[in-house]
Amino acid sequence: MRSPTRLLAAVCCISFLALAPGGAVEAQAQKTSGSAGAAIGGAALGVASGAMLGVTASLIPCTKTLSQLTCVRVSTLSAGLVGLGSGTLVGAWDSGRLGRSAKGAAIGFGAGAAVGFVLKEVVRQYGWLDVLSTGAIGMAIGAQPEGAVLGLGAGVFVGSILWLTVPSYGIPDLAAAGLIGVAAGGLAAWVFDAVEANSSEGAGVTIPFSFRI
Amino acid sequence: MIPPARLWSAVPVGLLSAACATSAGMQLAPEVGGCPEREASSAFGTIAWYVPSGSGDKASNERWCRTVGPPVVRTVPSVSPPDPADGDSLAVIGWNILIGGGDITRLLEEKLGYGCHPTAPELTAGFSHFVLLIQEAHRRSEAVPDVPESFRFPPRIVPASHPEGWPDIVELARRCGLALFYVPSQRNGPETVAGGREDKGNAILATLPLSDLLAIELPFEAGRKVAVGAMISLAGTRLRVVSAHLDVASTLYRTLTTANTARLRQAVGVVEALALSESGEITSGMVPVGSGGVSCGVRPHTIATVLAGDFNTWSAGESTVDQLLACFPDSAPWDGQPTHGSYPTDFIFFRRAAEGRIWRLDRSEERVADSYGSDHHARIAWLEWSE
Repeated sequence: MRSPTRLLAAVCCISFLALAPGGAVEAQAQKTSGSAGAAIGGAALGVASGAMLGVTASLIPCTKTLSQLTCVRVSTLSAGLVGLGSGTLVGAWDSGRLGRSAKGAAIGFGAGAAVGFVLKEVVRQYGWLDVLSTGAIGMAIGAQPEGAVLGLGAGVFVGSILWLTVPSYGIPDLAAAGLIGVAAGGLAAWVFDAVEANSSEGAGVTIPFSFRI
Repeated sequence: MIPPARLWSAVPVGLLSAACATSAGMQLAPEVGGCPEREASSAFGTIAWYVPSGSGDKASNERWCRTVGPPVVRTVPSVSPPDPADGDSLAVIGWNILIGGGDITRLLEEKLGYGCHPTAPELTAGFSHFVLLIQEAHRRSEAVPDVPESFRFPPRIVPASHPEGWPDIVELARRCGLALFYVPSQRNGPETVAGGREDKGNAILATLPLSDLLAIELPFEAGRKVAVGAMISLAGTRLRVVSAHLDVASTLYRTLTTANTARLRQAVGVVEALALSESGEITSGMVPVGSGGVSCGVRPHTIATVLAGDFNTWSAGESTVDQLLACFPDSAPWDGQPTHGSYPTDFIFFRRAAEGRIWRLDRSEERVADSYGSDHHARIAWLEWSE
């Protein structure tokens, strides 16, 4: 049986799952037409966001194989391709939707870089490349914040249950579950956006089991 | 002005083209000079230095190397315990002692019945010779250079509690009459303490004479790490002992662009340097990192080897452990016991030589229940040999 501290942590995680998406699912917008230029931009943003999500999600799980490098590469490439396809379609069909993703990516980059800058001042070996790295991760999440946040909640929720029930499941595994959730949620949101962009009814992300507070 | 689309596209291209950054090629240092620590060690004339062949690794290691003092070598113990005989066992202890916070004296007395004394240790029944493979040993000395604080030193680590007098590794070896080989990896803070400065690194302490000293500067990740090795002789049979300490993690940028292979790359560096040392080759790069392939050098191995260390692994199923198990196939299976909080960071790996006159006893290996003041538990393995 796990300690009360762990149980409390798990309750917090479950609460997070329930509450976090609430403020993130209200993105409603009018559908706009796409263009070839927007498709190219969407492809670039999609592949960058997807690849960053893929590499981030695979970093911890892939340490459990001697083919660690190959494992991370496959994950990065696969996620990058999903982002590439989805981003292209979003740009081709709904430039307004792509614009919101690009704006989110820019905000995410800024937020991530700010975190990286703080780390650079605190962590001795961190430099400007690490500031750029945190910015890139922020960009990947910011491009699809709803999916990433919901995925994080789901990943941490599942990870917490495993953490409570499986003795060999440790903190690094829980962190890995959260990162996988972020990546899966972000990628799912890209695919969802592509599907929505092609629908005639216009945009509007509807995620079941979520509510506002 | 670069179009934003090109900037975004650079992210996946950069990530996927990072393979070259994960090489762990090692080479015998072609010359001793360049680093004061290595220059000073030339006075001993017996230390073989292995360094990473990558230019980035070299430059970083060189910069850090300039901030530490010279190695300490006392190849002959001042005690005279009985000569090893057939059927005796050798205790090999691997332990991260947290900058002298771990009480080695008490551990030796309680686990091995060895009462520290510079010339005549108190031995109790069941005594066996022993080798301590230490990580995070510290040395306090005026020989540690005074360097500008513009170098961003790692902060000084001071254990919350420590044995009386807080002896450094040199003083400890003297008090216990043990042979010592200590090579600092980095400074323990920029401060000057009691007229001296501190550095920290790996060390070997033993009741047997040490020879064929080996210093392996690991591929650079977050900080400079130097594994140390030495040969001991057991009734005419040679055994190589190695103490290593890997980084916890690299920087975020390196983590992303090298697929989080920091520890695996450093472990491969150790494996490769040992293989080069055994084969006598000068340069290599033969062991791939993270590609799934495993190479441990020329087989069959001619020298039995024990590698103990703090590998900073997050799980026993990590690729770093798998890599080392593949190259040290006679190691004991993991006992399921964590050694640093809930993490299984510390291991003892072993491989027999082709002739196989030294082997690991079945009762190995054991995690020491008491941490003796360190934040790591020690591990002990027993080896036996015969003519």
